[in-house]
Amino acid sequence: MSRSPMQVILGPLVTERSYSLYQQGRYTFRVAKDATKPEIARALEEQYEAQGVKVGAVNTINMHGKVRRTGRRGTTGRTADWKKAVVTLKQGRLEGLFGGV
Amino acid sequence: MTTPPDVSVVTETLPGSQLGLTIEVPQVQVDGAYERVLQRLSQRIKIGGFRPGKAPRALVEARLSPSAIREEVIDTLVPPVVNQALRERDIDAIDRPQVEIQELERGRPARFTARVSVWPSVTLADLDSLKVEKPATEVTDEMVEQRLLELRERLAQVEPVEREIAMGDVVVGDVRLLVDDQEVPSESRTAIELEVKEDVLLPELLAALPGRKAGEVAVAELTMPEDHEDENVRGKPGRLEVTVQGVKQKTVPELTDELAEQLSEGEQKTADDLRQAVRRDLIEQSRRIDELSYEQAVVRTVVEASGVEIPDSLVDREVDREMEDMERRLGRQGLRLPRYFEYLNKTEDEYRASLRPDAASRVKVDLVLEEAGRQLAIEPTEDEVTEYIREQADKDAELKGQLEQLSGNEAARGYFRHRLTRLKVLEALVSRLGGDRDDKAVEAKAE
Repeated sequence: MSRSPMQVILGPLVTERSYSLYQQGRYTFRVAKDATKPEIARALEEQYEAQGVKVGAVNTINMHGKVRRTGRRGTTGRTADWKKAVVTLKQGRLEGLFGGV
Repeated sequence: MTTPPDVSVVTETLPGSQLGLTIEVPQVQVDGAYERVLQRLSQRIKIGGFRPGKAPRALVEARLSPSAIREEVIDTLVPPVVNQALRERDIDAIDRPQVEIQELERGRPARFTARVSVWPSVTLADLDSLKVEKPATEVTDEMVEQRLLELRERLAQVEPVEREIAMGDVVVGDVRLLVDDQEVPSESRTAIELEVKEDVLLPELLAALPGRKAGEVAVAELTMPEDHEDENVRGKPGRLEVTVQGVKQKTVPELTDELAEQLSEGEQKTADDLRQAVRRDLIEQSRRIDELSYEQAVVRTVVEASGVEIPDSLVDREVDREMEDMERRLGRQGLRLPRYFEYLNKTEDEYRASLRPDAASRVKVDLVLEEAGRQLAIEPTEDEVTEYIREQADKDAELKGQLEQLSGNEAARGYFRHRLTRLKVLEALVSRLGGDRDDKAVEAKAE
């Protein structure tokens, strides 16, 4: 089973926390819920081939969707679960995740 | 903002009492302004995932449109720089500078041009070379007699008489005006009194009435005036028919000592005294009129001989003031300005344009008089201002109650100081251009 990088890596996660990680050279992404660490590493290397990046480590966290109230009677629903990946590179840098350029 | 060491400013004089500035701001300052703007904006803008002010600069910039940032930069950078430039050059601007950005980009020096109206330089006429003839209306014996006659006429006896109409009589009758053999009701009257006297009656009637008797009809042919309100009769030949019902004789009493006493309410004892008093009054009156028209002539001469380039913005301001004034006046009558324009059949712009010439000449007079005041070094002292305010308050009951308040209030004092200065300038100009006043000669003649 092989997915295109776009299907694995859903996009950069832009938050205050991820920004501070970014400044330490660790890049945070939203990834497919069922993506595995090796899969993420591969997808990333492929997506940023031009920059010649090599992934050192991938840490993943399953994020539970938040409970949200819907409707008038206080019925509840929830937002989708998702997976977060924090990637450490052993070679290369990624730019432009936080605006600019 | 701290002193920008190397903002370069080039000024040029433009027509209409305007000044053009070309300002160049070095790159450092432009970037500084960008920095400050982003800093400030990042505090305000909300970006998901970040607390306000915590988002990275690049992200903030990516979120905002470049033109919005540029606007902000212009607003922070330009006004202080322009104001500073004006201050450093001692430019006394009388309106807001109109700034046009020529170039403004991050990482590059910025250049913009500004245009302000400045107090116009007034080239005051050489006062010593000007001379205005002082008008001296002479009071003649005829004028005195005429005045005495008018006084006596108030006590005239009017009695009905059975005879033909003579000059000086009062006729009672009906008047009908016919144009194209049609009666014009708006001009017809019944049972009115007509005084058969020059300058009172229409000349045509004056010629037709004498010689008629009660019961007769006097007819006068005339031409209707071109500006008559009824356009159907304008310029047409008309026919006035006066049906005489009665004739009254008017007897003007002789000027006797008793009458003189009566007319002057006991102040004058004899006819001669009254004649003298009337003459004095007339002299006083014509002197005042002369003085006023002389003052106006002096101002006109000085202003005409002086050179001023009137800034549009001052004229605009004057027009604005007048419009406000009118709005207030109309408001008191419960009329709104737009309605009034409708009534005048003019647009507001047209109306404003029609006010401009007068406003411009008023501005010019103001400017010239102010300059004259400066050159003649006329500046009332604070005591004089206080004294002046008191004088004005004495004349005006409404002001009286506010006297304390007025003399303490700086804005009010400024207003009165301005008025007093103007008054003194006028005085100075009048005596300067008229040489010695020859009131004495006029008075001597009167005696």
